[in-house]
Amino acid sequence: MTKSAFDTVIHAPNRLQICALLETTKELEFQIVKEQLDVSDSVLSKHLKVLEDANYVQLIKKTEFTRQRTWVSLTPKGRKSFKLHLGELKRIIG
Amino acid sequence: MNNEKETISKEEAVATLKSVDLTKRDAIQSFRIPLLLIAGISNSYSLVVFSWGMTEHENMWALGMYIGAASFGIFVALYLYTFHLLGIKVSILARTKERIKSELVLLVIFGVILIAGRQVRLLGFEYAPHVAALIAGGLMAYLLYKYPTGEYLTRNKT
Repeated sequence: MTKSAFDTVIHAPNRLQICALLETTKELEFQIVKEQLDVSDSVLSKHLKVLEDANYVQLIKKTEFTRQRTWVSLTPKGRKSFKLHLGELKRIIG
Repeated sequence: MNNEKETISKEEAVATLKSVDLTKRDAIQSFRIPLLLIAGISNSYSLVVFSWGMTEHENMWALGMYIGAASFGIFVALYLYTFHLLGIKVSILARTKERIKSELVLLVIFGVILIAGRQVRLLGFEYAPHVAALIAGGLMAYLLYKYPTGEYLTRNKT
C-alpha cells in the first residue's frame, strides 16, 4: 500500500514532532525527546502512550551502568504511517 | 480520537510540513558530535587514502594504511559510543530508499577518490594522493558535520 493517508493519531502537534524526531535516528532516549520537545515527563508519557497503543512507537527500558534508561523508537508501522501522513499533507498542498 | 478532524486546509498542511522539517533540522543540529571526533575520523580516513595512493609493494606507506584503518575503526566506534552516551542510537544500515540511494552514491564517490588518488599518481601526477586525501577527508568531515546521524534531509517544497 503506497497511498497517502491522513492519520489523526500522528497529526497532534506533539506527536507529530515525536515522530519527526524519531525518524532521524534508530532510537532516542526519553530524556532527549523531552528536551527536544521542551515538555514535561507527564505530557511526553501521555503522547508516547497514545503512539504506543497505536503500535507506532516502541519503548524499551534498559539498565546501563546502574542507570535506568528508556529508549524510544518508531516501529516499522509507525515509520510507514508517518511517511503516509506526510504524503497526505503534500497531496493537500498539491 | 474520533472527535479529531480528519482533514486540514492547505495552509495548515504547509505549516505542519514546515514544522516537521524544522523539528528534524533542529534535532540533527543538536545531535552534532564533538569536532575533535569529526577531525579524528576524517583525518584517519585521509591517511588511508593517502597511504593507499603512495603504497609501492610493501613500503612504509602500507603501514600508514593499516594505522589509518585501525584509527578509523577506533574513531567510528567512539563516535557511536558518544552518541549512545548522549541517548541517541544511530542506524548503521540504511532503512529508507532515499538513504540507500544516497549511501550508494557516497560509496561510489569515496571509491572513485580512493582509486583515482593512486592511479593518477601512477600516470605521473605525484601529488594525486595528496589531493585525493584532502578531498576525501574534507568530504568526510562535511558529511559528519552536516548529517551526524546519517539521515539525509531534503527540504520540503512548501
